[in-house]
Amino acid sequence: MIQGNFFDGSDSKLHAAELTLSGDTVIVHDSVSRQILLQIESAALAINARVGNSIRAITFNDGSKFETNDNVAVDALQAQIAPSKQQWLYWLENHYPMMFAMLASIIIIGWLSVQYGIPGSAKWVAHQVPADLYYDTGEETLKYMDKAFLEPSTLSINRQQTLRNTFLSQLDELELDIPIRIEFRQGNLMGANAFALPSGMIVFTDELVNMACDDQELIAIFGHELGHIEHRHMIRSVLQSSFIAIATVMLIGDASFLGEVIIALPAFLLEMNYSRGFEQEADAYALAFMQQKNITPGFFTSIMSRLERSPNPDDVETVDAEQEPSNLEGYFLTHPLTEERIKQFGQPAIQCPAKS
Amino acid sequence: MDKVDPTINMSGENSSTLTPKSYEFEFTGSGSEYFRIWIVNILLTILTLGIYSAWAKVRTKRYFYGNTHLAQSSFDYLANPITILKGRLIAVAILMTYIGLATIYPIFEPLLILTLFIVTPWLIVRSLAFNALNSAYRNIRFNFVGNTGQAAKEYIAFPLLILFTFGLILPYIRYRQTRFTVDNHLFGDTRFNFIATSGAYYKLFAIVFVAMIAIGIIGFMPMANLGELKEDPEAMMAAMAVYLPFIYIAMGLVGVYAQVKLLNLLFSNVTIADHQFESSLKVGRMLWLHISNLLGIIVTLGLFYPWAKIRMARYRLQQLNFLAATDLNSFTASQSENVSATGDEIGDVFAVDVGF
Repeated sequence: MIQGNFFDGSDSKLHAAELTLSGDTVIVHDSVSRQILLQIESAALAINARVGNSIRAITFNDGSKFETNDNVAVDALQAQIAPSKQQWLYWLENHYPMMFAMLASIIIIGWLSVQYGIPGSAKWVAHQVPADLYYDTGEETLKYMDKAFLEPSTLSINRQQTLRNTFLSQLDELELDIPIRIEFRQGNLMGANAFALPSGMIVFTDELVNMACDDQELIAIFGHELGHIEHRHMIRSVLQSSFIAIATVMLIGDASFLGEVIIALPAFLLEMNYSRGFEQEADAYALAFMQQKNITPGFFTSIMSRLERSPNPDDVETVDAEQEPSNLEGYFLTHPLTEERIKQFGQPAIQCPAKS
Repeated sequence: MDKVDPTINMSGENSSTLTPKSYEFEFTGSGSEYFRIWIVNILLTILTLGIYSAWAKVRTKRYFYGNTHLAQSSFDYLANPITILKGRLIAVAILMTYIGLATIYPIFEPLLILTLFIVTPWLIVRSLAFNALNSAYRNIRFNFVGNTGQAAKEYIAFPLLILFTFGLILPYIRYRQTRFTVDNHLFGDTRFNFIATSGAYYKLFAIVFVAMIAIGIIGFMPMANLGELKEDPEAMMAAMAVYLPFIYIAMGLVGVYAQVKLLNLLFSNVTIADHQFESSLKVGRMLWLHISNLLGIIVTLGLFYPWAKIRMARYRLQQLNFLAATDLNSFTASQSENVSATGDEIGDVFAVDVGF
């Protein structure tokens, strides 16, 4: 016998009731009047799966419902009429050794997804997209930046054309599926910088061009930006962000009352981490590129060191070696410089000859 | 943990009396129990690449509903996980298409955002209807009967007036949206009523507005006078270290104040038949809950989350009363209709806030 409440489904009247099973028949009595409220064969009822110790409902196919907090008695009833499909969930939830195993599994799987799953699948998808779909991608960003703070280059047309030809002539033996274009802009706020758009557009700021004491330094930077394009870094970064967003909604879609900060912070740190990975990948590309072209890797190191030291009071962001380009959301990439990064090139910086 | 004993009938349930009786909402969920449900949900969601999240949502909702008690009975969540899964798959497909289009053809992005903006009223209505129809109390379902046209008026047409009224219409809009949400909810075939006046919203918004201005003045005025500190970055940093936390804490305080007063204003003005709700949340207690939950989650790297959620639900329900004119036995059911979960779930993914 199970004690609980009975509701017939037509109105909200509560009947304190008792449920008993006799043979194949379930009988619900009113506890007070002893009147039979429902008599039905046991095949016509559905027992809700147990969720902790919350109130358990038994529903009947005539639309009526019996509620009780006596979960133990309902479990016994269930064992008698129909062993439920979902009872294993309750079992999982109530075995403490399982808790530790599950917590450990979540941490391991979570780590593997973050380390390999998300970046790996983003990389795969980005390379599945036909290259010609990328031809316009990101051009809007440049238009926006032109409006916001970039200005036309002050370099002479000749100088621009010479550099453009120098860069493009390096591409001869490479098999690229995205055509590369070169633009120059006065960086202003951005200072000495270069960035690549997924469309194959690479933009150098005048400040960067003027900072180089040898065009081979600029070729080194060009190699790095080429790496971003060839490795589809921007598209991968967008994909990774959306994977993280979807996973967040799936896992804790109802977390709004705690504020977004708690969820946003780890997601932000993760994206930072991915962004650093992209920089390393682009560096590796630049190194291979320079070796292929017989350019001393020291040219990369030298321009990087100068970028790091360059005083640029207007924009701390591009100068600060440790800072990632958070404000522009990875659309373009500054050059975070660390000792490690220079070490990767295994060469001391080329000394810049005194400039006239 | 307190248990509701379903065998004892409520005094006064059988005799109709004119003295209003106050029924207290009670929440009996426990953090450790929900923690175990939560862990299993997360693990299975990860292992099934998100498919299980629909089942996880139902199980979580059932746990919270089944532990929410009012007048001898508890609430029940009836949604079918398959329906939710379909909704989620559609939502993810739309989200991925959106991201893909917006990345590759950024020119379409404004158009896509506009489309999303236009379908928002539909999403809100669907989401509210799905949730209401799948929520039941005493075997009587809730319902939501607002239509998309009305929602478009409240969530698009009126908000557009903000531009022409310097924001003065904002409290009125919030009032209308709340009224739209409440008035279109039904329990069985009985409508809820929202009896607050827009004046109460103007008063609350005015207090919040004045508080924000005050924080702005107190927080930023001294900084404006620190012009000479610009030369001395260290002193500037020291000044920021004092003022920024002040501003954050003060803003947080105002945010919690607004949340508490809005919730009280909402629930204390909801009536159904001759009955009325009463919410008496306190700012200090809510502030403590937010701060301790936040700290708990940070210190435990997220593992405190289930306790945080339980504590919040318990406090909110503990402060909620139902003032019944008679007993709760005479609500009758209405013909229910099935609503697809798509609205609800797309709303989840795009984080549509219906302000309820």
